[in-house]
Amino acid sequence: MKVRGFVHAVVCSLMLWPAVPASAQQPAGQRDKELDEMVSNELLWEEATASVLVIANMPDTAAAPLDELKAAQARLERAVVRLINSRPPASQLQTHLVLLPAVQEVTAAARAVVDARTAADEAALASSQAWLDDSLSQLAVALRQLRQAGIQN
Amino acid sequence: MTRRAPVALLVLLTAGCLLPARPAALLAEEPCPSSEACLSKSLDRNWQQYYDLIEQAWADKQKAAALILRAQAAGRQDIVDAIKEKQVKIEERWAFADAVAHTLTSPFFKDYLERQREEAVRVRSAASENARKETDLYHRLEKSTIGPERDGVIRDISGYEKEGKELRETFYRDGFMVSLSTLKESSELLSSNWANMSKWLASYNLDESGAFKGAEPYVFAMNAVVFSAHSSAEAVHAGMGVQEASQKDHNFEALLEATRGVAGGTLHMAELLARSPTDPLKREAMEKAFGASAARAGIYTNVLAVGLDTVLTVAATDRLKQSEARQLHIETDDAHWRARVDTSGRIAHDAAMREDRANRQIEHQQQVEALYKKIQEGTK
Repeated sequence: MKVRGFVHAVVCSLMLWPAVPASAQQPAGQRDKELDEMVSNELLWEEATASVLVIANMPDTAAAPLDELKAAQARLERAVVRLINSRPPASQLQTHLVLLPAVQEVTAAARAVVDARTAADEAALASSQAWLDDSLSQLAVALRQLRQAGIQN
Repeated sequence: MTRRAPVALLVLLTAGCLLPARPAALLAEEPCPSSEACLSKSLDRNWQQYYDLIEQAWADKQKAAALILRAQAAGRQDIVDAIKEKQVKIEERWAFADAVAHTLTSPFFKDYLERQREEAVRVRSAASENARKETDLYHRLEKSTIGPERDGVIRDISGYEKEGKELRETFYRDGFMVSLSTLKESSELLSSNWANMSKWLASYNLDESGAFKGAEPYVFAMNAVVFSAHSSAEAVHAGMGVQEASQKDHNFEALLEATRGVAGGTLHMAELLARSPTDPLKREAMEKAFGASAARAGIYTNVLAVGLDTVLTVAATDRLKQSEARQLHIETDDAHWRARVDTSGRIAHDAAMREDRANRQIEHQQQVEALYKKIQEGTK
């Protein structure tokens, strides 16, 4: 009975070990796995980079066509969601964990600008534009800090 | 029964284990009362996932070791083998969790969060002070409709506006200096790679949009930025206005023009990188242009850094110019002032929420640090 209970406990324990998230499941072979992770992570970041720069290059978010602004913000938001649900390679963890929240902040600030413009709320628009400026500056600061620390490849 | 659990039960349990543990974060359709609340929730969730990952991976590692000991004591080699098979995955998961914990508790990461908090405190403090002064001036303006008292209020408004204008100029000037200086460093690296990239893209016929057909102007612009950055930055740093610098320093306008060119080129490059991401020819061209390791890790950080620094340089300059060109206009209209007070109040309120969020990031980091410390102590 004792052994039966023990075997039962082992089976349950093995079953209850959380599965590796889908995004983390990789084909066999440690080296291939690491390369796959690096390439996937890089691709996600390339899309996020382009999406951030589209918004940053808008000269005046208060005057830009609302449809364009909404499309740019939605694109950035999709890129960020994919990054959040991804698993970065260990070699890129520092960069990923520092830049991800900074890009999330740019996304949220851009969304606040879209919301303020949609609601035609002047005070909220002024505040969200200040936030967007600040979030872009903070992202630039994060990149500089990474560079200074020599973490960037 | 001791050796064969019912298959159906196993399948059900396994399926249950394989379901995602948490819903995806920051989904566009996720209802949030505000963008700030949504971001805050998403960042909290990120931290909770990091914490759970570390805690669970460590618990699994411990559990596996204990079970092996018990199985060995019970003389059950078949169970020992089964657990060891699972152990590979468990160790792999722990190695990743350990790397996450190590990163989040590193002095660099703590310093990064601390600087963010300092910036949030500075912005909130400035916004609160601004809101207080504007509200005070508005109340005084409301009460003093005639006579010398009103003249006094108008004098104060004038002084306050001048002070505010100078603060804004200092802010943009500082931003301009920092962005330009970083841009100079980044562009030296990128301009040579850019020229290479153009060559490789052309040889593989990958530049469908023609964005890099004429890569030379971008490379030229990048070099122009590097050339002009030093003298222009010095002129502005010496307290010269942007208008004045434009007139006295012939490099300045050239710098701005070049910076705009680089901003446009960088955006093109980012779009090209993002487009057809899995195209093997593009990957090959990238690797040849940037080198195998750089192609796989970190091009985006260079592109993003240059892109943001060019944009911020141009934006800071435009705003400095606007600020300098603006005539000091004393506005005493009631509706205008009410709108100003509303806006400054809103900005201060939103800045306070961001400061709270920055504080919470540090609290989350401290929780992860305490957990990791406990784990490290347990391994001694």
